[in-house]
Amino acid sequence: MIKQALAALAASVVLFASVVPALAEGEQRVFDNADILTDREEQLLEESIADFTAEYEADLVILTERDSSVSDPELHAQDYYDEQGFGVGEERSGMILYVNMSTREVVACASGETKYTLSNQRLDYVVDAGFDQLADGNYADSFLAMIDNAASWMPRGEDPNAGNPNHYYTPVYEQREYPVVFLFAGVALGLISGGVMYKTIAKQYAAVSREATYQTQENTHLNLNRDNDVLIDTRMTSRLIQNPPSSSGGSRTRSSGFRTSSSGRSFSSSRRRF
Amino acid sequence: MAVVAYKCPNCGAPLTFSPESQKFECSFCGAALTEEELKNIAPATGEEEKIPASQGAKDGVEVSLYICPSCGAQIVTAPTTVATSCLYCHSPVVLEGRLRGAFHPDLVIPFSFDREEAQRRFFDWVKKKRYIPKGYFESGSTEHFMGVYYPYWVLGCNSWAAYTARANQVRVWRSGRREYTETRIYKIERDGQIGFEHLTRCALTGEGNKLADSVMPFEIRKAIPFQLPYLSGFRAEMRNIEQKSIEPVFQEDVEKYAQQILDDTVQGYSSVYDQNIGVLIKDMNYKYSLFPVWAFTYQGADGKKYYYAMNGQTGKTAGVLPLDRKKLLRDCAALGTAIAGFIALLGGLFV
Ligand SMILES: [Zn+2]
Ligand SMILES: [Zn+2]
Repeated sequence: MIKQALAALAASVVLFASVVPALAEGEQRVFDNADILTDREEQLLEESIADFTAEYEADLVILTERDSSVSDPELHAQDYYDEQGFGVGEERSGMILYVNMSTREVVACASGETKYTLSNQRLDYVVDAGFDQLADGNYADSFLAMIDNAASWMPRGEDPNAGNPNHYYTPVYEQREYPVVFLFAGVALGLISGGVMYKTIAKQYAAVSREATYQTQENTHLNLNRDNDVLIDTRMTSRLIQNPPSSSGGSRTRSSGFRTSSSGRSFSSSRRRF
Repeated sequence: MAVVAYKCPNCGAPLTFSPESQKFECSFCGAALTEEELKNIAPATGEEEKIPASQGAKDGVEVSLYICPSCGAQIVTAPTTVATSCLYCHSPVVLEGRLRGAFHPDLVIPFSFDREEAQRRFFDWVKKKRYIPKGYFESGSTEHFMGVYYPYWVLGCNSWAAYTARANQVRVWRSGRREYTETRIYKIERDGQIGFEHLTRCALTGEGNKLADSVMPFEIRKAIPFQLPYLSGFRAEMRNIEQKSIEPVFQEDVEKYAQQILDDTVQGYSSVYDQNIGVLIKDMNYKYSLFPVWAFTYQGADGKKYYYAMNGQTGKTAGVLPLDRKKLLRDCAALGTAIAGFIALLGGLFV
């Protein structure tokens, strides 16, 4: 009886241990050196990351900085990930989201097993997911959106194109579907302009007079006593520009699927200016 | 002398005003006289015939009878006609009796081109119109092609205008992934004096009125003091709209043009709206004038009639044009398709 109870307890401990992340409780994963997150937001992100790690056995690190000297943010993020010893298991699987507020660049890199699932192309989508909020300054929302998007890829397993140099630089826009809205807008505008032309010309032909019957410029003389333009109100509005990701993406010059950090380990990555 | 006819001093044939030479020519012997030379010749005259009232209102249309100074036949005219020609001898006559006193015109603009030229200009004009059914103006014929001096009121005046409006200045710029729009709203105030010259309106009611207004503007700077002989060889009408009936029309015109003029002083805005204008007119100075118009109808092969008027000084033509709806529809469809195709292709850039 006691043996059975002990066995059950042991089993539950093992079960529990397999669910709890491999890293110790309370270990920091959000490094907000640029100070763009509130304490509450950091805590929220930490919780989110803990869930992610528990579910997918992959580490997730967020690093923000203000450092204009960083010329290769991907390498910088990867080195940070390596040097701090992040990652789950032998392969040190996981990803890092890096935002540099000075250069206004955002980078996502994946390491170990994770880099096959979160391939370069999928990391592009991860960055996409949080891009608008990032540009708008909603940093916590942006990170949460990126984590969510990364989590959506994890159950799909390895990207068949991961690490394949022929597929790596497939521009994002080639994957997109034809925006049907253009077709509708085209048809609508075509109808409108054709209709306007018809109405205008038909009206002209049906009119007795087509031109001005009095030349104000030649026949009038204006003498102004009062000539005031007074500013009475100013209104501001703004909207988000819906650019295709291809045009806002940072430049890429690499030719192989993965790139290596200073220590020689390889990462998948995505980099973008915001 | 209620009727006058100008006769050639050499042969006694009728003299008419020639737009080409701007002189008074005899079509029989070819003599050409200037206005000065004509002044020294007394024209032949005739009298108005008193007619019984019962006869004067035939079919509800008021008519007057004159005696032709050339052949003595009766000339029947509408009550507003001041120049016409004798139905029997075709001599031009001017009903001088109707141009006296308050009805003596201040100004006249003589015709500047003749009937052949007017016809040529008309056919040139319609040839340039793309949506007239092909060959329409070759198949039919013009009718009642007449040179008519129409009566016009010409007004010069001063006005005080007080104008207010709202205007928006819009600035758009981008920062990062955001587009910002700033709208500055201005209150516009204009007060001032606007002097108007040569506001013109036809002074004859009836069918021709709208066409006569539509061939404006006349170059009134080139008008000359009225002289009877200019009417010789043309038809001419006298006014049946008096100053006080035309005044509200001019009032509206002044307000409309004043607003246009003041709208034009509001510059540098993306939109102007809520315009409000008050106009006070003063120093009105009316001139009663006779201006030249070529009037005619065109009957197409399909039997439809179109009425046209052409400014006898500038050649500007007014009148409804026949429309080839199929051709227009085809062009509009082509434009619509081109625009739709272009935008659809534009969408292709984002695939
Ligand atoms: Zn003669
Ligand atoms: Zn006669």
